[in-house]
Amino acid sequence: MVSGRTLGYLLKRLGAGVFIVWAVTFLVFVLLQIAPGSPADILLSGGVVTEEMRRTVVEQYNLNEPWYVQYLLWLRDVVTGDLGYSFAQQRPVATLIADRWAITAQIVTLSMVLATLMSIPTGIVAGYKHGSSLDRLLTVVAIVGVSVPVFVSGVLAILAFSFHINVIPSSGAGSGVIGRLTHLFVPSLLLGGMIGALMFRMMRSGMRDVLEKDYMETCVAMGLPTRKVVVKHAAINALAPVLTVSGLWIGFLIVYAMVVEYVFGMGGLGRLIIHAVQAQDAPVVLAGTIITAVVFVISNIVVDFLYTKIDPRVAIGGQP
Amino acid sequence: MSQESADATVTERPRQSRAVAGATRVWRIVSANSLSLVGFCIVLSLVFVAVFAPVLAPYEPSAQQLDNTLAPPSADHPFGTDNTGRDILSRIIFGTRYAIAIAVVVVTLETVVGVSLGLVAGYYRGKVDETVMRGLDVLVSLPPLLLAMVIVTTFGINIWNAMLAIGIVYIPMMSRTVRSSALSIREETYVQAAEGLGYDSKRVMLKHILPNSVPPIVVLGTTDVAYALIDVATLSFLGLGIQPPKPSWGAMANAAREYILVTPWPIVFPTLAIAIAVLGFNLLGMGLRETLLYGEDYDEVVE
Repeated sequence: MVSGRTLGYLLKRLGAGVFIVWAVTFLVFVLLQIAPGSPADILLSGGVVTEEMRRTVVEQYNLNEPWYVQYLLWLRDVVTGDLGYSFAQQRPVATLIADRWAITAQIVTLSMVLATLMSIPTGIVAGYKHGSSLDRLLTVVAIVGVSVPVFVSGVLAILAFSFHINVIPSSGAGSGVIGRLTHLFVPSLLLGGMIGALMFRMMRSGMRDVLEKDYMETCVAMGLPTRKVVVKHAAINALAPVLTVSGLWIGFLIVYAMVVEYVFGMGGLGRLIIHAVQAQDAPVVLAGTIITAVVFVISNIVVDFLYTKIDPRVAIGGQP
Repeated sequence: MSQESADATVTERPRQSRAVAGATRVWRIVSANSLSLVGFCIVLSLVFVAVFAPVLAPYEPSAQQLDNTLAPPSADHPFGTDNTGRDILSRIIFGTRYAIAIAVVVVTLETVVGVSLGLVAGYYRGKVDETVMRGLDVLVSLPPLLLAMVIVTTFGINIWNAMLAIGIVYIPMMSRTVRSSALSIREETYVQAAEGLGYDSKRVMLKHILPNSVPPIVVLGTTDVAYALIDVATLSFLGLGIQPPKPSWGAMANAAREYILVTPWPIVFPTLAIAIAVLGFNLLGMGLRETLLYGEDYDEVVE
């Protein structure tokens, strides 16, 4: 099933992933150290500070120790799942995040599905018939799609639908599966539209590149039906770069999901993190950052694995 | 005296004709594609509006008319007024200055830091390349907007931190692009010839490799300005970037959010302005990509 070489390749990627997560924790720690004001001030600045709270922070983050001891002890806490304490909200950060991550994850998933459905078929058609008026139309739609920030389309959608037609709920996350889906649909569609526009662009140029390859001529010369040539031979090859890039976009998608969800007034990670930045509640923001990095690394390893399925040359170590 | 002025005219003329030639060349590249032509016109008008904002704006951007708040568009106020009776059109006109400032900050940081890192990594390869690229991989793993949020959380929310944060987060992509083009260019015969002549590494990088990696730098730089405008606007909309009452489009949309039930105009016009500015840079970037990187007629256009 998984050959030794593939396994070796994936282990190498896993090592790189662990390095990235470690480096992100280090980066976050360094930012705390070099920022104006002491780390204690920054960690506490979200709320009203009492002497007792300051003592707790100094103790919890070992602020009396040299910086490398502080860092190692803090890293140990993070690894064991203790993400710190939000003084502004008087609750552990891990609890705050556990209560809210699901909505964000659902929006990310749904928008990724919608983006794929919208962009891959249109990208194949536009790439195959490139230069046609259909291709031009789709390209212009895609440029407009990437140019409208999600908070703008979100606000306009709320204005257009909720207040005037009253069909789409403009805030809240809904209850039950159906309720949740109707609430998630419009935000996910907007976010998916933005990501889909980027994917469309990649898919289109990928198709253009692949269709010019010599083996396409071979396929045609062998008398394969056009449909089979385009879908089975060209599209699969054009899909590989889109897959890689969508792995790189996952972090971007998480953050913009937070923005959309904030605009639509849902109680997911977006509201938590954005309010935390507004209140300068550092522990929450830093924990959110580390979690995003972990999700980024994991999804890229998954993408790498899928990539070895599409293009076996990668795992064997040849030039892709 | 007369000798001096004669010298001045002699040196003046080639410089002037070089500027004209440069402008003609830019115009030829830009007008080769209808996307970049439209984008270029939008960007040029943004710059024009930003420079002549005080002349173009019918009102002071901060002048309040407390008896005329949240007015719909009319002849006096073509885009209406906001919650303190300030003229929205005038504020949008002054807002272009923030958009241009963001573009300048992002492009400067990208070209100064991003291009140098990429050149050094691609030219020296080996350990230097490895170190620089691993460092940038870490930055790439964090989405720009989130990294900017972390920076404003630790360093404080203000316009400079927001613009700097957004400028910094676009460096890695530029470095990667420049590195990959430097890697291939350094194998070219002319680079080896320059090295054979004993030119130092600085001269080879700046005079031989850099000029040949300009097309991808220009394309990426333009597209990144579009994304940076979205990021700063989003940051300001969330109240984490440029703060009201400064007339930045994101901040205006943020302030207008409260009154969305009363009247949509104060939020509609600034958000449209953002979308148009982003569209301008995106179109320009897309068009330049076609012409500079994929165009078969690139050589004809330039030479």
